[in-house]
Amino acid sequence: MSGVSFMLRGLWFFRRSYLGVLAGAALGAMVLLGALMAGDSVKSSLQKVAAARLGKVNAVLAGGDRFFRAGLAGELTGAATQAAPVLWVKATASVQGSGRALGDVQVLGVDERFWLLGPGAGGTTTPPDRGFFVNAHLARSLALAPNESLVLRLEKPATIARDAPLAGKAAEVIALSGEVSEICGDARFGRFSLQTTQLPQATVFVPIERLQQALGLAGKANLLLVNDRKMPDRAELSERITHRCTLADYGLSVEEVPLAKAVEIRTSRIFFDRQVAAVIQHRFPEAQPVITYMANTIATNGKTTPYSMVTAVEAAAAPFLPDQLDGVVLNAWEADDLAAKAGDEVRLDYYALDASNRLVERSARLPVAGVVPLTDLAADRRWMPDFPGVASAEKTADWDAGVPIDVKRIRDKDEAYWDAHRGTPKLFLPLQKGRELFGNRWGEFTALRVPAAVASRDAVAAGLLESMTPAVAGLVLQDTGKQGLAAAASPVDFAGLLLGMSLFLMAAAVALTAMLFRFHIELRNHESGLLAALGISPNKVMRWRLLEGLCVVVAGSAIGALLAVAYTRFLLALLATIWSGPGGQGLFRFHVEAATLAGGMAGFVCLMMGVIWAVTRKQARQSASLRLEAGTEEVVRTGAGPVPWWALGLAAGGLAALTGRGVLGVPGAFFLAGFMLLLAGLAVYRWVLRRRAATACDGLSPRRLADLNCGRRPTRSLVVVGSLAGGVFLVVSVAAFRKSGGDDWEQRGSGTGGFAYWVETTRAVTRGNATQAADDVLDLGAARSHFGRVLPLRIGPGDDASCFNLNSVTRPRLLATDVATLAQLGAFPIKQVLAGCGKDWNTLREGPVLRAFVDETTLLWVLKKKLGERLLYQDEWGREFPVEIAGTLDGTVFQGSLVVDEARFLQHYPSAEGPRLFLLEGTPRGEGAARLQLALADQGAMVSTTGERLAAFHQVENTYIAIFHLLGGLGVIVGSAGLGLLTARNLTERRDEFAILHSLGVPEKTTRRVIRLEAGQFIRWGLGIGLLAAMVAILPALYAGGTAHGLAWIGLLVVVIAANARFWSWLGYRRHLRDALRH
Amino acid sequence: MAMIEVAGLTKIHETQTEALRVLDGLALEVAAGEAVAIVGPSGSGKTTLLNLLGALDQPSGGTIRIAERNISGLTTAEAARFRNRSLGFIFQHHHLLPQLSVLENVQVPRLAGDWEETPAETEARARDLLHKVGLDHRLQHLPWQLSGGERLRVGVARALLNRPCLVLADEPTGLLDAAATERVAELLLQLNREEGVTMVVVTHNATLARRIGRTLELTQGKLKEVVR
Repeated sequence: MSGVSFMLRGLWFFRRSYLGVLAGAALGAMVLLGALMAGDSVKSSLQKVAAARLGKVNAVLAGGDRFFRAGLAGELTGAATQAAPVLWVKATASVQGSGRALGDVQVLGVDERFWLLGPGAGGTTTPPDRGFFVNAHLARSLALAPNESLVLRLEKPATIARDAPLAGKAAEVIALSGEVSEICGDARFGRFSLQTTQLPQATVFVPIERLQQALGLAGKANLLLVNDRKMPDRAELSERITHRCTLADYGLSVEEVPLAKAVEIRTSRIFFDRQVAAVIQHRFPEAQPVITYMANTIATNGKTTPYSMVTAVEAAAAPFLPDQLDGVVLNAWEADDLAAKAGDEVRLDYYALDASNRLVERSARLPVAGVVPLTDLAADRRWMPDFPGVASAEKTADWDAGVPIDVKRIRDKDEAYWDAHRGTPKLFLPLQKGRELFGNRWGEFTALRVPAAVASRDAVAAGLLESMTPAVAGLVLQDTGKQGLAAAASPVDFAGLLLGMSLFLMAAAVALTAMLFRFHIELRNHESGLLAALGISPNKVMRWRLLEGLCVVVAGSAIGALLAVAYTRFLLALLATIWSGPGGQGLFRFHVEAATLAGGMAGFVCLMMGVIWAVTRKQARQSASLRLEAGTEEVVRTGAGPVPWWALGLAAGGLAALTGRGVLGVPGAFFLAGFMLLLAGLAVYRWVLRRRAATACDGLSPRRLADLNCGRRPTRSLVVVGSLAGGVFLVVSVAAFRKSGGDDWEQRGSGTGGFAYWVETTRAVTRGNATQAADDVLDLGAARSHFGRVLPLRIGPGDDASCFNLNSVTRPRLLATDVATLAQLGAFPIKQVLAGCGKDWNTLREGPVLRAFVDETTLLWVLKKKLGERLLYQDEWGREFPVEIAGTLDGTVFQGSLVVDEARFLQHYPSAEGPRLFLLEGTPRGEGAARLQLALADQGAMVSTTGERLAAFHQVENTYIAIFHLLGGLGVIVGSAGLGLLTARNLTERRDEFAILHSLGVPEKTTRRVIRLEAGQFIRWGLGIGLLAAMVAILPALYAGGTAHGLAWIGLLVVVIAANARFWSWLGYRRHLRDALRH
Repeated sequence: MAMIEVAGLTKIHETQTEALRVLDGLALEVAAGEAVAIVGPSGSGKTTLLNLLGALDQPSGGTIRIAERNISGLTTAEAARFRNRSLGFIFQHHHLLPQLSVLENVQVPRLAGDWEETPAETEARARDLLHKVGLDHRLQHLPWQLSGGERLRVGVARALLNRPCLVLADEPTGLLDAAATERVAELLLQLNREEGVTMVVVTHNATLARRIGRTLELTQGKLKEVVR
């Protein structure tokens, strides 16, 4: 008989004893592998979504509100590159005649090349001329069927942000209608989106020519989707794009100005971006900047001239001006109109934007330095750029400059001037003065003039093409494929999350398994002693035991792996209650990687074997004679032993950990404190067990007997009490973190900031028009009186990093607002700020880099960053800049975003569109939401209450907590099952003892009482230690939250856990007591 | 030649509250091939002495020489090897492994490995020994299918498998009736004669002690000859 056959014989003979070990191992493996499989499934599902979202697109040239030639796509397409132009805008979609509408719909103008970049061979059919394709998400959202008529309301893009002064007329909304001719699923690229999220985006596909025509952007696109098979060499692609770009793609034009003997460079954006101007000035140092702006009034001597163009320029570009101009030079017409002469002082009124982006009229007083005749270059109408709504106006009264114009002030002579001289400036001032007065965040110069002596028109054009790059012009090449797949490849770490949540259940399963194995080892104590007596080395016996254990654990893990498949599906179903796919169907598909499975199983087997080795090692080290004598008794040291003062040290360490939340983070401090307090409690219990056994007693009572019995096998007792205590700790403490409420929404210091409504509009809201009240930024009109303060926020770049997005987000969405207002209101709870920063919103206006506040949940769980860390963003020109996390907010509606100061935000994104997000004061009940929805229908607004938004976040967090509770509860059940098993085991092993009691005439009632007291002691200690550790660990949370209902919930949980433990001990008791007492 | 030479043997059981001197300068000499019975009241240290002779425990003082080898300072591994090669144990509770058949139970010592005999030779020896103890009809039975006397005989056969120079028996007849005790005594003496094995038997049973012959009484930590 070999050692192997001896071992196998043992396995088979003790199969019943090993069954418990097998079950425990299967449970532990199921939980561990289930968590890993769930992680794999989530990751794989997100990767599929990312693949469906981006198709074959691995790079994107994104223009945003800058439009380039759609023809660029054709020029780029080659053997290794496919490119498709897309005209991308946002719209509100409504089903004609049904009242069903949806905002924030992306409208994509596409041609057949777009479909070639889709994820599969879904066909290249494009929508018919008057028809639309819609994606499945939009179809479901609007209950759309093929051939139904859809109306899109979209805003015509402006050449420059509508916030800018002289940006032209207010938003022009156009309607586009057509029949839905196809509903595109994922295979048909229906999921296309550049947002890094698993959430689908409602999309309408329109033939690009039709959209171009409707928007007045013939031949233009603002997205270029590229499939570049030379993936690693993105620099080459960038170079090729640069090489193909024309001045039109950069929004630049070059014209000769004969009167100035110069070549003028203009931008379609009216004001040159500072970056572009810098590049041009670097290329042509002789280029002279020109600033032409509209003065509302030029006044002197009690006379005024309304609405005139004025130009700031150096004498080098306007030789009719004195070399050292100090003051202004009027043209003859203006001097005549004002009866002005050299030495007079003129007042110049003009529009500018204040820090809050409001249009204000400012004045400057300047001396008249001279008068020039209205001839030659001074009379050149080309000084004025093509201001939208002005340049093409027939008469002055028709100006639609995007600023308030009082037409009553316009005189006949003004119209006559316009007829004769159009926008010829009436006043010239020094360039530097012009920069001071008229410079804004979009730029300063309206033209740059290169002397013809320096370069011809063609030379200037060629020079510009050489110097410019798409990035300088705000056309950013994004490595979308890499970013998208990377975000999906490392999503929210569900494996880690579930492992963390399952930790206790696993620990309970492992502890139970180890205890059962220990039972088994004790059962075979005689055998081990005999083998030792016969000269078989203890190490060899230990090896056999471990090998037997290995076989059982491996078999258990294999069973666990099978069970894990079902368990994972259950977990995924639970997760799908939060993150469902389009239309509510499950987003997650079961998937497991072989490496995960193998690694998980190997890890679990190693863990189990380590624990088994630890629990058997001590017993195996006992001498053969001792084991022959001990039988199934645990070999223990006698005597009470010293008082475990170190347990007090552990408890103190636990309390210290709680104070170190700043360093360890809240979860780390919480778990460390709990763990140390639990260990301290168990150490005390162990000491109590030994002390009771060692202390002489006046008389033997059932209680004394029960106490002694509990200390007879202290390891078993500790495992059971530890499992119960751990379960109670987790279940009770996690209960304290349940999120609820929103009841205090009116409080400024609450997560709503005292605002009742959260409104997101499809189109950016600009400064408003002349008719609306100053504080009616949303143009609510009559409905305005129902609401209080409105806080506008600009939505910057970045992805939603709230708990609804499962992808890993490295750059959360920036929300920019006037933080001074928030500081003044004392709105939103600021939890923590970086050392050196004030605990105040105004701190965001300071510092060398852009500072942000972020919700603590987002910082901890999504970004996994600490205060003071910096995130890199790309500014308007693709240059990276840091955003410093200066503070955290506590459970606010801003979860998933970084809140920054608007003025500082605009330094990086001067062309940013106006606010699209608004917080409104009001009453979140009654008709408020309906009123808003109605008033903002044209804006495609989505209205929700801040309470609903917080509740949605809380629902996600509470689902996590529910999973935690479920797994913790399972752990408690496993721990309680351990108590049941222990009770049963004790009863079986102590038959002789009961027989003796019986023979001595001790009534059965007393015996039963002893057994009940033993189980009761385990429950009391388990609940006591767990509850004490939990209460200490959650005290800060309870104190901060003031959650009285939390205490009630905890009390209920304790009762349930105690009842559950009682039930299991009763089960073990009931099953075995009769046998045990059958003498 | 002396098979067992014990001099000044001391064993102290220490607890946290007291030190109990079980053996106190004990001396013993047993010749090769001799059978000795050790008697004494309960708690006198008989089993402790047997454990020390069997290298199952370490003495607190003194020396133990078995077959001219000092076993007092053996390491755990050396002690195990020594037991496996040179000693045989017979226990009151037999300690048969319930998962193994009678024939396999006898061969358990071979599990230590590194035996010179081939497995077939060991099995043949086990069969032979079981034949000698009268159990050749019970080879494939499991322990629970045997009577108490039969189980003891299996234990005896197992103790002799390795051709030990010394067999230590701890209360071998403690659970047997008078008739069975007589048969066991006869068997042990027969094996002592036939196998030439030295035998130390700890017993309370006066009949068995008388049958064995030389009897030593352990009292107050020392041995003294019982003169009949």
